Amino acid sequence: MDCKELEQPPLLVQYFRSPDPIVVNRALLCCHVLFYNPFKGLGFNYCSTKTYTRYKENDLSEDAFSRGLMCFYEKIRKDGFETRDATVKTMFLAYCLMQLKGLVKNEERSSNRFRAGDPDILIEKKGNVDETGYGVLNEENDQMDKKEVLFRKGFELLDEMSRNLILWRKYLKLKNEEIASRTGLDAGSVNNEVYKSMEKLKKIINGLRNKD
Amino acid sequence: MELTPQQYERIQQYLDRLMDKEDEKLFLDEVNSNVAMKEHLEFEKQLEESLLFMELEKGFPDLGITDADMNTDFAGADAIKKRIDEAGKNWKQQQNMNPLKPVIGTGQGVKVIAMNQDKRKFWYMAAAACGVIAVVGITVWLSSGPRNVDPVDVDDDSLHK
Repeated sequence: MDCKELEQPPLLVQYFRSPDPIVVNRALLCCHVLFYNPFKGLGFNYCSTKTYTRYKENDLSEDAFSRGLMCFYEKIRKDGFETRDATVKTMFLAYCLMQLKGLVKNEERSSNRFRAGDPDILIEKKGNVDETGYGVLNEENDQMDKKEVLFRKGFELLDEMSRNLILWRKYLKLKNEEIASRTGLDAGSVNNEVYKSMEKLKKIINGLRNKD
Repeated sequence: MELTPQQYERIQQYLDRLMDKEDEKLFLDEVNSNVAMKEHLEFEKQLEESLLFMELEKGFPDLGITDADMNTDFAGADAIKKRIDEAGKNWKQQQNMNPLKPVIGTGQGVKVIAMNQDKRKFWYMAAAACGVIAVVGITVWLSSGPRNVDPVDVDDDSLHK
């Protein structure tokens, strides 16, 4: 089995459902080969933006990867790979990131409990009212999330067509033909249109950076 | 500076991992000598990451993942966890990785974190070294005995005057 085969949904389902444990073990190993490093990069970046998960990036990412793979395996084995446009990689990373988000949330809760000094008090920030007095901490986190904030703002300011083109290409990884059928564009010009959209986004983000 | 359609195409091929190793090496050489390509590649990497994080906040609505899909407490979960751990160990052995060290990924932020951890280690070591030097210095200073004080010349005659 070539690990790259796992990126093809029908083969992924076939290997995960195989009654031969050697095939399943090989498929699980291939998930590590294909996705471990890309996810670890994301996990590090995600955890390092939060004060309470800094320096725990490695453990949390590994745990999230393992949990994500468990759930992904079970889902594929049971329901197959629903063709929801996304690639195997995007789907897999989404499972791991969802697990990571849960783990990070737990860390946040225990961190808040620890700071509150009362294990029974679970503190959540409610609206704009910072009842806990930990506003400074949140501001610090916000500062570190600046890159994500810039991209988010940039996306909001982008016209709908450009936003969709970028999302379909970069997130759902749709092929030119699929994007063409959704937009009415000529398949040959899709690449160019996506590139133009990215240039627009780049300009907006640079503008926002200069404003700051 | 704008990219040519061919340059843009090659960046997409690289990001979608459609290049073989030889092509990839040629591409990376080209990127290193072309500022516009380098900047755009970095931008696309950041964009991909940001998109995933943005969708994560929304719970990946387009992917149809439900809370139930995140349950790790299903029948046979322990067995599959064991197999995943085993696969992870095998892979790390293959990669000749040290599991105690974080893997430095491709994201720019990851490198920064790894560097920060190295820096932290460096400062710990520097602080320890300073401590050792201070202790040795004080010990040597104390064991060198009383200071030699230069005798003051006193002119006895002038005292009598």
